[in-house]
Amino acid sequence: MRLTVGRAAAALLVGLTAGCGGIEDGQVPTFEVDAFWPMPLDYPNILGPVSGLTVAPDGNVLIVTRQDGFSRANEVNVVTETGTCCSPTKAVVEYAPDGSLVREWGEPNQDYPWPNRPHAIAVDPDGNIWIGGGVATAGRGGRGGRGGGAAQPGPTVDSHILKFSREGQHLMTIGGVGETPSNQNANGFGGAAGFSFDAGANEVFVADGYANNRVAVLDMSTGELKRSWGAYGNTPDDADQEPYDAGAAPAQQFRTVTCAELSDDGLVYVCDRGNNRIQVFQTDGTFVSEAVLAPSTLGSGSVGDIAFSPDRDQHFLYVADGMNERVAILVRSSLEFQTSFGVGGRYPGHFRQLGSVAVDADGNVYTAENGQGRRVQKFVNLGNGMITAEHQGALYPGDKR
Amino acid sequence: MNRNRNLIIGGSLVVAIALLGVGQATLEGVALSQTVRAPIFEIDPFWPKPLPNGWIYGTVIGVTVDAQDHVYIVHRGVQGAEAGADQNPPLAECCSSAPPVLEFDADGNMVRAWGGPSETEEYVWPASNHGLGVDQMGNIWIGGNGGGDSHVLKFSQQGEYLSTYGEPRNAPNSSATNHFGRVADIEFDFAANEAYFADGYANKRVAIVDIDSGEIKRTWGAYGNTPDDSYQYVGERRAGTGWSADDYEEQQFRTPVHCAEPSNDGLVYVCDRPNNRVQVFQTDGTYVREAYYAPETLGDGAIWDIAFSPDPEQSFIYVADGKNARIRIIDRQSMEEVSTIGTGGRYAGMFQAVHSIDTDSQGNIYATETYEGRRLHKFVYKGIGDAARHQGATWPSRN
Repeated sequence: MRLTVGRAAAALLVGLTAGCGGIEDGQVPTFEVDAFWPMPLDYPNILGPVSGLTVAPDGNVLIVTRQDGFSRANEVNVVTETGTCCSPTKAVVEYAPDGSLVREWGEPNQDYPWPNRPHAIAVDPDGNIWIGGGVATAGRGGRGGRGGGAAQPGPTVDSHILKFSREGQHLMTIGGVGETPSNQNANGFGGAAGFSFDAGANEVFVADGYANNRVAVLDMSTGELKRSWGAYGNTPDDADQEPYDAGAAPAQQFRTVTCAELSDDGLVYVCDRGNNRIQVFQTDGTFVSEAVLAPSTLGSGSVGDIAFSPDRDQHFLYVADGMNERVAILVRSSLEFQTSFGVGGRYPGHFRQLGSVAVDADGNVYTAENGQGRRVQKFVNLGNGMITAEHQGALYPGDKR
Repeated sequence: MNRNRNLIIGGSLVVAIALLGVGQATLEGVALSQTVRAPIFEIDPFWPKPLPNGWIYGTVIGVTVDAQDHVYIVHRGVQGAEAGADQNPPLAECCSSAPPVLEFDADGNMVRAWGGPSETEEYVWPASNHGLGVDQMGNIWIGGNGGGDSHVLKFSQQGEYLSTYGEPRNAPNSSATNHFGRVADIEFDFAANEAYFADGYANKRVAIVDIDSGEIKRTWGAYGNTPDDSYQYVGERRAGTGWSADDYEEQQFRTPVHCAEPSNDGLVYVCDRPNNRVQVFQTDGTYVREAYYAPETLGDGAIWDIAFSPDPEQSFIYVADGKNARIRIIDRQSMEEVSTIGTGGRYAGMFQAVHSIDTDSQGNIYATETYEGRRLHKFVYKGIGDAARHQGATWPSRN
C-alpha cells in the first residue's frame, strides 16, 4: 500500500459539531492553541531548542532542550556577564498539566555522559526517563544528508542512550559513548531520536536515528540489542544515499529515522523523516504499509514525529511536519491525511522548526520546536468535528480567528 | 557643565545586591513583593492576525504608529531554509519572506506590504533596513544601518518612492552636512516641520532635518557637545572590568545612537544605547539631563528605543531594553524607573531582543524584536494601577 497525501483533497469548512461517543465518519479532533501554557519561567530563565517531548502517564509534560544553540552575546548574557537576561534552564524540564514548573535537571559534566546534542525523551513503563542524542556536526550530518552530500559521522554523533529516574538520577548508559555510527554496531547508536516501549515484551523501540538508518529493538532491562530493521524491513546498510528525489523510486533504506512509536495493537510507526514517509511494521520488523506526506518536501523532510490519539482505537495519528510547519492529522488505520493545523511563524499556534508532537489522556496535543522556535505549545482538544479545510492554519481561539 | 545626573534604582540596586552576594532570585522575590503605581499592560497574543501568503518576518527593526493608529513595521526579510518556499527548488510550502514594510490596522489586519530595492534604480534601498517613522502627511521614512547606508528614504503610505535625504554610499562622518551615518530611527516635530534622525550606527550625533527639503539644520552630540568621531572613551567597556556607564559620563555618544524622540513639551530624548543612558535636550540641542538604566549592561547596551505614553503630559517613557529583555516604564518628570514589563523567552509577552517601541492613541504599546525574536507584539493598556516592580510576561490572570 502506498498512499500519497498532500495538497489534493481541499474543500470547504462545512461546520463543526462536537463529537461524543464514537468517531463519526469524516470527523476529526478540533483544537485551539493555549497561548498561556506553560507558565512563564522565573526571570531570567529561558528554554533552549526543544529537541524532545513526551507526556508522562500522570499527565506531566517533559521536554529535553539543547544547550548548544544560544547566542552568548544576545541571549544568555548572564553567562557572559554582559546583561541580566537570560540564563538557560537545565536540559530536562518537567511541567505539571497546569503548566507550572515541576523540576529541571540534566547537564554536562555530571557523573553521566551527557549527549552533545540531546534529542528525544520518553517515559518507560517503570516511570524512568530515556534520553537520546543527535549529530552535533555542522549541517545535516549522517548518511542521510540531503543536498549537501554525505556528511562525515564522527565522534560528535551521540552513540549512547541515557536512562534516569523521574527525578533525574542516572540509572544506566546504553551503548558506547563516542562510537562511530554504523547500522551493524550492536553496542552503539547513531543519534537515537525516539523511543517507545512494549511492556509485555519488555522491549524498547529506538528510532536510530540521525546518523543510522534503522529501528533498533532493545531489551528494556539490559539495553541489549535484540533485532533491528531498515525500510520495508530490509537489512539496514551504511551506504551513502543520493539526495532525496520525489520522482525517484521509493528508497529501500531509511534516510533519517526520527520516531518509532508502538501502537496499542502492536504496530510500530516509523518516521522516515528525510524520505517524507511513515512506514508501519509488526513488532518483529515485518513491513505492513506506508504513507508519504508532502512528498515534494526537501530540507530535513516532512515526517518528524508521530503521536496517537488517546481513544481506545488510537483512531488518529498526529505527524509533526517541521519543514511545512504544521501538524498533520491522519486516520491511523488508513494513513489517510485529514487536515493539518499550524503555520510558520513565532506567534502562538505558529511553528518554527516543529520537531516533536505528543498527546495527553484528554486528547490535548503538545508540540515542541527545535532550533529557533524553542517552545513547547499546548493545543486544547475541543472535541471532534467536521473540518474540511486542508490546512487550518493558526488555531487561535474562535473569537480571534 | 551642568550634569544633572540621575542614578536609577533598578540597575544600581542589582549591582549592590550582587556585591552583597544575594542572588537574582532573591532580588526578584523582593521586587515582586512590592507594588508600585504604574501603567498596567496585558499582552494580546493574537495580535496581529496571521500574515497572508505564508509570509514570515525576519528581524523586526522598526515600528511606528500613525494618526489613525495604523502600525507599520520594517524588517529585514528571511533567507535560507527558514524561507523554504522561496528557495529554488522550494524546500517546502513554508515559508516565504514578507515584503520589508508591513502596515496593520488597529485590529491587526495586514493592510499593505511593500518595499525593497528599486527595479529601476530610482533609489538606493538600504543595505540593512533599520528604523522607520511616519510623518504628518502619512509618508514613511526608512533608515538603514548597513555599509553605505548614509541616506534616508521617504515613501508614500502606499509605498510609492518620494525622496532620498542625504547622499547614499558615503563613509560615516559625524561632521558631514550632505549625508548621514547609518540612521537608526526617525521621529518628527511636526510644529517645527523638523525630522529627528538618530544618526546613528556609525555617526555619533542627533541630526535635525527639514521635513520638506531634507537639509540638515543642526546636529549635536552627547551633552550637546560637537559630535567628534575621534573621541577616546574613558571607560573600558568590557566584561570583568566592573565597567558601569554611570561612572564615566562619556562626552560623546557611543554608537549606535538608537533613537531621538521629541516630546510634546519641547524636549528631545536620545537613546545612547551602549552608554546605557537617555540624554534629554532642548530642541536646539541644549543639554538638560541624563538618566542611566542598568548602567553595567555590556554588549548591545540597555537603551534601544523609547516611546511616550499618549496622555497630554506624556507622563511615562517606555524604554525597550533588548539586552535585558524588558520594557522599562520611566516616570518622565523624575526619570525614575517605576516598573518593567516583559521577560526573556519565546512565548507571548516575552522577548528575545526587544528592539523598537511605539504607542498608539489608546496607550497600547507596540514592540518588535530583532535577532531571533522576530515578532511585533501588542501590549494592551489597562490603565494605571498597582503593579509589581517587574510585571513579567503580562499575561491575563486566569480565573
